Amino acid sequence: MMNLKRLATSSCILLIFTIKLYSQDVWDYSNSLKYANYLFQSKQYRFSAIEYERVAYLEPTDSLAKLRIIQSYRLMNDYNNANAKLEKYFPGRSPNYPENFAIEKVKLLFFEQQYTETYSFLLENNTIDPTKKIEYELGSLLMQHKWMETKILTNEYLKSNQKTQSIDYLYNISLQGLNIRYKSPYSAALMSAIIPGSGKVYTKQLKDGIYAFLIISAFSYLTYNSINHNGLNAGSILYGSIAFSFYAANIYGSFKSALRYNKKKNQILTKNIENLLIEQ
Amino acid sequence: MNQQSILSPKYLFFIFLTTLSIHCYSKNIDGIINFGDSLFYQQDYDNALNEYQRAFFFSLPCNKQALSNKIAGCYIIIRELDKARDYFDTAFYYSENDSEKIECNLHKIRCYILERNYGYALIKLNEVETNSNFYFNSEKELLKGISYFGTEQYDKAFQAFNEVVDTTDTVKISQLSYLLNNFNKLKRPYPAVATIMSILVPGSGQIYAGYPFAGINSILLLTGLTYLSFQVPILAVIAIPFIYRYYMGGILHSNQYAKERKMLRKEKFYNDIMTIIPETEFSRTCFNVQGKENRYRNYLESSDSEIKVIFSLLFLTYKQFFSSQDVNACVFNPSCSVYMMEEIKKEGAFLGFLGGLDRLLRCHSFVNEHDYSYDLITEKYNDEP
Repeated sequence: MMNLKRLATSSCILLIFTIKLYSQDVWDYSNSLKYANYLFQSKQYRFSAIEYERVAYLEPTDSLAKLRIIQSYRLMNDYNNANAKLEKYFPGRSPNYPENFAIEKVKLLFFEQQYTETYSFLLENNTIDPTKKIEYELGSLLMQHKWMETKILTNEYLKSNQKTQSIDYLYNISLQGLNIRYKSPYSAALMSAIIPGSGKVYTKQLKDGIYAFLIISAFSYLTYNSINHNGLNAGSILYGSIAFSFYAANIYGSFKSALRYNKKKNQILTKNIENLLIEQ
Repeated sequence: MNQQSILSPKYLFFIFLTTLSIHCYSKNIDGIINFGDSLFYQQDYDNALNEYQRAFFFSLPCNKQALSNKIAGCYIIIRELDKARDYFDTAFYYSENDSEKIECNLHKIRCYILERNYGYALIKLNEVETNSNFYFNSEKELLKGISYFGTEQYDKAFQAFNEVVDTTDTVKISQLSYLLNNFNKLKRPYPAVATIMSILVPGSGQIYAGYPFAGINSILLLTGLTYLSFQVPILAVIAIPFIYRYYMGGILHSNQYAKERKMLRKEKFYNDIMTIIPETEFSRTCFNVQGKENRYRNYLESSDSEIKVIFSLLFLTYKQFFSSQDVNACVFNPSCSVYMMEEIKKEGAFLGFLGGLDRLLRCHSFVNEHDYSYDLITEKYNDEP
């Protein structure tokens, strides 16, 4: 009988634990964190941002939750909210946020393509690890296509530090950048003004150049022919306007083609930099 | 003695604790589900989805089946049908009996139908075993009918719809057979006939397909350009290529118009069927033909100067009366006219006009993937302004 009583008492104690176990609040800190992590890992960033907000509210000292909020906003391309959160958590502490948050800020600036701001932020920051910092600095200079500055900065850094794989990669890009032979937009425009289509050929758009030359020549010939046979009439004016419009458009097009050529050359070199630095 | 011991305070406390633990747990999840339901009824599907997902994440396996169905329902409404299908699969996994499994399969097939993947829906329907249950049989036949209707196998569709209608209701059966006798109308207008008519007499194909304005537009454009070529021979150099393009364009468009008209007839016919057989929200909406929106009006509405208004009006006229008759000749996406309007919006009227003309000079058949990225969906080269 005594044993039965003991069994009943111990069962009751066990049941109290089950209540504790089962009745745990799904809104509490640990469950919210569990759910928020699930949302973040399954890339449902819109919902994970809200859930991490709850986690951060329940446990204001949880800095990882705060970091995840900013990351969630960044990954859903809501940069304004991400920046606002950063300022809210560390008011007036820019640029010296805690390291992870400072790196997050750099990534945000990279995402927003504000490379000049990234570089000045990094210059003033002293919380990021120096090796990482130099990588980001080189990256932001390369994204601005400042090849020579990148080379000088790398050489200065390597005088007192060791070369890492990333720095070597970035340094090589700067060397390749220095070897790019850019096309001058003004030369392209001038060439097209002298011989229609030649500016396009100069910017390595051979087919466009030949096509433009043929079209402009054809309309110019039609204008000339029309004036020769019928004098100045509606037809010749129409052909003349078309020929002149295409001629002017080709000059402008050659200017833009040179810009496009230069941009393409830069992009070929810098396309992997963002992935290298942001996905670290 | 035994009776007394069961009713003693100690045992009552024991029973109380047992029920309390379950109660505390279920109350929590139920609260989330109820909140999700209230959001769902307020048509706030995104947030309802979040609540259901939270409930799903924390709930016991026995609740996951119902929750998966709710999540899938949200995804169907926001038209993310692939995710809806995934959740119906999850619901199938957590199903405890055959009827729940059949229901999940039928839901999944509804998703295929909404995706207009009728062939696959039919394959899946043949795999569904309804265990001679009247409700499931009727649902299966209804879905079969819709799928056959989608694949234009009208006789089989009517056979399936006949199974859905109550056999004792002679009025409905006679109405259905009346529609069955008229289903030949669904085959008209024949796209092939419209094409041949447009080859023989430009514009006639469009008129036959039920688009008289497009037909008259085609006739006026072609006769106008031909007349101009004869009157001012020097303009023929420009006019003749355009006559050829608009003639070919008329042939292609008449075929498309005939198909479009057929779709509209099909929708009307389907709605007539749905007045006869017991309809559901799903069966009512799955054949709605979406109307085209005129997105080009934005350029006129956003014009902030007189010159931009003139360009926008010229552009709308071109799109309405010329481009609508043309073949799909531009190699780029967006097309040259849209590119010019975007450039005008961005750079101003003068530079935008020059940029647009330069784009015309770049738009030729020698463009390749080396110069521009190729989009496999639009089958055009990407060149954003």
